Amino acid sequence: MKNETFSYDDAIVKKFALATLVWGGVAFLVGLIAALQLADWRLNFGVSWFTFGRLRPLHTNAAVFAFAGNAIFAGIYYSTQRLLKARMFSDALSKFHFWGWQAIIAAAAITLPMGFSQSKEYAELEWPIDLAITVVWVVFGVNFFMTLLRRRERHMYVALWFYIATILTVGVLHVINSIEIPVGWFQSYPVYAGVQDALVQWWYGHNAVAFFLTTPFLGLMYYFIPKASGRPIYSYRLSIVHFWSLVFIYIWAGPHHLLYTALPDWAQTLGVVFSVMLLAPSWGGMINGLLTLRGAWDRVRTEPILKFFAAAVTFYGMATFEGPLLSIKSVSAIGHYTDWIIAHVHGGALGWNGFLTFGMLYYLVPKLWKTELYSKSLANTHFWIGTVGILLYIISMWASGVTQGLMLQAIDEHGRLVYPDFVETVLRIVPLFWIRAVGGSLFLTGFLVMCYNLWKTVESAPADSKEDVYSAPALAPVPETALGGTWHRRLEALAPTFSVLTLIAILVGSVLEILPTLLMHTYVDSNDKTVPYTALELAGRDIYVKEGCYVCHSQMIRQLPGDVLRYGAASTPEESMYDRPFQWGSKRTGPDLARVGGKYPNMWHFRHMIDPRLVTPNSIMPSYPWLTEKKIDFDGLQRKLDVMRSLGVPYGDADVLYAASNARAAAAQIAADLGTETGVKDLETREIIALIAYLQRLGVSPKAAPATQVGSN
Amino acid sequence: MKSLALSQFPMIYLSVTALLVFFVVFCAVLAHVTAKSRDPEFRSASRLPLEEGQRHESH
Repeated sequence: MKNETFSYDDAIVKKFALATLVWGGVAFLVGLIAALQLADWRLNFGVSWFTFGRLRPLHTNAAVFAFAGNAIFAGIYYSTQRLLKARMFSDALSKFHFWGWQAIIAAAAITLPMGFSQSKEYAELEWPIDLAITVVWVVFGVNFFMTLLRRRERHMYVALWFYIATILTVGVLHVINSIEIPVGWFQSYPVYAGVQDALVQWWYGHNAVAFFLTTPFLGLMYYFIPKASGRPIYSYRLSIVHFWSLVFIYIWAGPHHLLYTALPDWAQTLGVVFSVMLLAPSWGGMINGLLTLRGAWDRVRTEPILKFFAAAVTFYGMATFEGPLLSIKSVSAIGHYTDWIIAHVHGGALGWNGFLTFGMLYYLVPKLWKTELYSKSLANTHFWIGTVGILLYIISMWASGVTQGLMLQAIDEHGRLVYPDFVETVLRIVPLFWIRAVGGSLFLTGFLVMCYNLWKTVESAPADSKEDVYSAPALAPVPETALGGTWHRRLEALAPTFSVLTLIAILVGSVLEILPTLLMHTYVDSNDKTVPYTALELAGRDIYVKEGCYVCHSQMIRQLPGDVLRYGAASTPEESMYDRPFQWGSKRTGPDLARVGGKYPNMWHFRHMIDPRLVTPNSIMPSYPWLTEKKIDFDGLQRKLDVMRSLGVPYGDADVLYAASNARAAAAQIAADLGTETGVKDLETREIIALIAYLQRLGVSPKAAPATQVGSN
Repeated sequence: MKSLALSQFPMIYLSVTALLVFFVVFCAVLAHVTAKSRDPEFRSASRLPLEEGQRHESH
């Protein structure tokens, strides 16, 4: 076969690598600020857009989609072209992908601090940005798969399998989780509600970690560790088993959500078994990565790139051991809702994703700019500063999580809570928040050292760097029977067939996990006595979402003695049947709010939002003074109730038509109550009134249907 | 609460079926990849990242 000449599009790789550095800096800096805000509430500065509730989603989105996302794309564009011996299908599509993704990130960086959020973790972005993500992701997929079809290397290396799984699964996850109805340019309500919304969201959330932060990085591991060490992957056999078992199991390793239920013990145990089973493929990959360095360990001592890779794979092993561990019932009882989960997440994000990215950048930048790394010594310094930073971070958060988890569940011999004051458990762990901040500072410092090192590397590059030209035989179309080798070898040569089988593997798990959600109406009683939120309560709920209250407060009381004694009867599915989006949360830096309604007078809530220390000494919650200044959007309520009604919430015509006037009347009552006690006037149009109305409704079942008409609109 | 709702899901056999399907496929793949006769093809496949095409020139 005649040789063809071609070149690789490395310009796009350079762009993504640069974006990784820029957004990495933003993600780590915002993370550090958020960590400091938890250690000292005054660092929220009473500024709405700078408050923890709004910065935390910005941090997670920047870390996952901006830093890790750009790193993934840099690595995929570089390795895919070389593994396929083909330039990307279209430079124009590559550029569209790059600029489209950066525009999405910029939009997130602007809208999240402004409070435009769906409050669904890792899926907070509002509907216009969701649409943009879909378009850009499809463009990326088209570019990738068309390159696969035009390749010059018959067999698809294992890294490409993981990229295929990533592109297909992330697309499925994003589209299904983002089905929402707009109520304005920057607000929407999901079509799912309550339990159903939670199930879809955590199907997405669980698998976003799997297929955005795990499978693409495993692909990068399978490519860059052999490249950097100059040695082939330890076991290609193991990589086949690793891939198929991981994509099959990971997507439906959700049975640990069945813990603490009336489900028979054998079935609960089966759920735990599935989660623990995930350890096998995960560690299969880890072992494969580490053993690739077999015979090159002497170079790990001196080569910073190999150091980063070895540490990254080790952190991957730690995180994937911890995940199944946390799915065990007795461990979950302590770890859930605490900083243990934060430690688990950051062991993966900083150690696995971060260090693998850093190793990849140290490898890529000198190659792309055709020069040598400016300083190995600085890279080694980065490695050690970063490692100490990660260890300080995760060890302090382990200690914090276990401490608070045990304190919250502690019951004395008389059946009473040992620590009934929630704030007592928070004060005990504040010193650990400072240690976490030190760890984060070290990690950020190491990152800045890398930026300097890479900048100096690029500076030393030759000015007239030319594009290399390669040659390889063209790939002639051949019938499947002529491919030779075993069935998997033949499969590796058939890109479309392989992709379809991968899609089937992830869909089997998805269908099995999502089927209970779709069929929920057939086995969960819908309680027709549950009354929908009034217009004012709904307005307050939207403010609760906007301020990111869910990042610190849960609204779900588990069937655990400690939870029930502290917060009241365990939550039931009917209670949140009209909640769009659900607000169960995933972390309790503050207490659960599922039954806070009626627990305190309006005045308590008013003072609490102005300055939490006025009613809870030593509270670390930020103050929300702007809530007494910003006005409720009464005019938008009719549209909101109308959309809710179209989604199945039983609002009458009058409820919708007179939403604004009903809300004004209810607000006037609360404002009058506050005015009597405080002497503060003119509060009836302010956001704090709506928020108080919502908080007073939580866990309270009104005896009558919501008011209908109290005046003209 | 999510657990409470899911605990009422009646089709538990689906999970068990999926588990069995997984084990059958897993065993088949394991048997396939452990055969000694496949050493040469696995060896050549594992070397793919170390080849980039033949470099000709820069322009």
